[in-house]
Amino acid sequence: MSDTTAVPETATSACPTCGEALEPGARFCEACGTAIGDAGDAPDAVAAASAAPLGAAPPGEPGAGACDHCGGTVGADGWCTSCGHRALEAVTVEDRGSLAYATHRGRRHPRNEDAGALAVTAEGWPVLVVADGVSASPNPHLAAAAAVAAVAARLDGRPFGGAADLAAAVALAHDAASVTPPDGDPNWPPDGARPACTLVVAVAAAGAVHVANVGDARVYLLTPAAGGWSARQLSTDDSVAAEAVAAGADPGEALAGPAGHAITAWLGADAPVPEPHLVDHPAGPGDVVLACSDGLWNYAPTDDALATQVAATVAPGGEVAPAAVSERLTTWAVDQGGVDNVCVAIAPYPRDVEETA
Amino acid sequence: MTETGPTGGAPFAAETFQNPYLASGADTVDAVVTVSAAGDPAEAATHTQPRERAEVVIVDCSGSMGSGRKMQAAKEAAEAAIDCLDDGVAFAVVAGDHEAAAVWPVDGRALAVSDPHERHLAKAAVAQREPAGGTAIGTWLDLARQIFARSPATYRHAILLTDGRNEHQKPAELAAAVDACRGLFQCDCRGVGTDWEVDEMRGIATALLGTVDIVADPEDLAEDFRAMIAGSLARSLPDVKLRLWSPQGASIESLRQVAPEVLDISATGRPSGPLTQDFLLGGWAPGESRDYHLRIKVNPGGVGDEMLAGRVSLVLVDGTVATQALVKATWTDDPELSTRMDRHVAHYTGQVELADAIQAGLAAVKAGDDRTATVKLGRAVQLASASGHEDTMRLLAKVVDVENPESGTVRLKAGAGKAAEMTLDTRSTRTVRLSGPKSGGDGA
Repeated sequence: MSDTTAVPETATSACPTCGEALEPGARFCEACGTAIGDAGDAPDAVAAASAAPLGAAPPGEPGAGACDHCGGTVGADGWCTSCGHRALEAVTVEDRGSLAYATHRGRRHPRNEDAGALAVTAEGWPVLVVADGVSASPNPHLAAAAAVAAVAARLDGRPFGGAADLAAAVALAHDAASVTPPDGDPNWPPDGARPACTLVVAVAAAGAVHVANVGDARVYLLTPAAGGWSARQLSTDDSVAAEAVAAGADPGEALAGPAGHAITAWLGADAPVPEPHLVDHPAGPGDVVLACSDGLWNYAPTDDALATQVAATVAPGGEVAPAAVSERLTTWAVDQGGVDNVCVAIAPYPRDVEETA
Repeated sequence: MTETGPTGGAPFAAETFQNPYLASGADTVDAVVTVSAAGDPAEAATHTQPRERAEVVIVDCSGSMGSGRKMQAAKEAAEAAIDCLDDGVAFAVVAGDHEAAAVWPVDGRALAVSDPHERHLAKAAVAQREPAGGTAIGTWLDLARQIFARSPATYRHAILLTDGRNEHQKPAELAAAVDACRGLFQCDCRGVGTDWEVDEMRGIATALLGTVDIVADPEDLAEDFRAMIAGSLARSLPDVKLRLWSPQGASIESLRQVAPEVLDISATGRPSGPLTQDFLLGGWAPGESRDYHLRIKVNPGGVGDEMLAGRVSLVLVDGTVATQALVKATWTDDPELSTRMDRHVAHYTGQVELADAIQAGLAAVKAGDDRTATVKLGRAVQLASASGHEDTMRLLAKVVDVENPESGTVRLKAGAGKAAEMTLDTRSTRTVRLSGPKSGGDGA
């Protein structure tokens, strides 16, 4: 009997550290996390794995490879089987073809308090909505989510009524963001503080982009320029830094200051009825509207820096695929350190659009 | 009182209660994990599977048992226990003094199989025992272990009754005997009268996953034995182990059962893999629920990092994982999040402190240190009152006069009596569950 039962040549090998049987081709031991190199060169394998950038492999795909913390194996449930760190989750993308947004928790905040929403007016004009929950307030993600939903519901499928329409949408967002904590819920602090968020809305109407904002989420108009893109911030930051710059301070120093990121207006039950900044700006074929939270623009705070990053992401004159571009810009911000939540929304003007207005 | 029991036919369910948020640099993760067994406790008695089980009754027959009614009551209790054994249950009776002797079956080489005839013979053998000799509890456990070793039963349970301390054996010998029994059988311990040592019995019961209690009045013994056997027979679910995975570089600071009573099982873990330890939990009755407080020290992550600090798996005898609960850590620079203490963790931290305060207070009473005793028992009153632990409040009130439960102001009662002190001591580890609505798990 025994000599007829040949053991296959490809029998599994064992982990040099703990002796656990290894799956064929395993790069790490499932049991103890030891890296299994081709020539047993474990330290290099670990170093290479931990140096791998977020963009190189899809983050957070279960079992999709090495832990970016220790190089161990990420289990099917998203936790590293060796050091226990959670693999970064994938970027969330909402894709409506001609417009899209992408968002991610980043690396430092325990949850994503940014929110995005998309709408299309009766005229077929894209609407981008981004809100950023104020971290200093309790459960700000609830305010952000409610605010963007209220704006999208107001504008989606209806004829666009210009600045008055945007002001009305922001007022609705303010009401929606004024979340009342349920009685006795232990997830709310007892001091009566309420959630708060910033909000930016952009409608890519024929001939002009219409913008409303409260707080420091931004809208940019990207225009093809010689050898790349030019970017122009259309929204106006409600922030200590922006006020300092308006009074003559150096923009770099103002942002780096102790209250550089403190905002001076927001939505929520603690805020007065908002007076949004309302602006419209000529826009046309080939232009791109970009709305984002400060999780992106922190890493590209000036128009030029943002234009440079857009150029690195999408070739000038190339096709701007909203979902792919918003995802790539979000991933880039997370790769830069992901200090804040990130939300990026994109709507390109078709290059051959006919003027209907 | 919404019970979140197991669903989908799984024999166990587990749920985590914790605040996963840690301040930057913090390395200690606390969580309470509630483990619930499937089934309806009311059905336990009637629908018990006649699984392979063995019971050994160990009765102190030392000379001191001859005083008063103790020996007679102990015999009646053993007989009552025998009467409770269903047909088919393997059993034996051991008599203990400065050595151990098999009472039934007489040669002690095999277990009897319960039927009316065997029960009759066993009771007759018990009735013939006369009190004589000293007390060497380790030898009793040794014999019980040898008897159990001859049984193929998958569930093994003993009752140990004594009236005195382990006088005729060195503490190290008893400890070695207890160690040898770990994981082989569970043992509920009872002390009759007031001449036995609470700490000694508690040590045995803790190591052998059993309960400890005082039966101050011998007349109550028979009823207590019946209840113990009934409780044991109700444990009809398969044995289960708690497997704790923790990340590389982490250490398990403590693992305590905290409900229905405090049982520190930290030291009982055995490695089952490079990053896992297994802890025996013994048998379970349908519908039974126990809470565990777990403290793990991890290598701190950076702000924003999320870490799996522990994975609690309930593992059946055949290696199947019945259920899992995750213990997480998330580092944040938001003090609003990191300073919040989960109310379950806070509650059981208080219950463990309550047990410790009672035991320290009673030790001080024994040592004649009234000052420490007053402080400790005052603190115990404060904790028991705040957590609504009425049973313990009642027992405390027999030892101290409570002036103000909120501030913990008490006076030691003159002549409280040894029985009252020992009752308080043995029952100090019994906890109450958190009252009020259960908040969602995770705290997130």
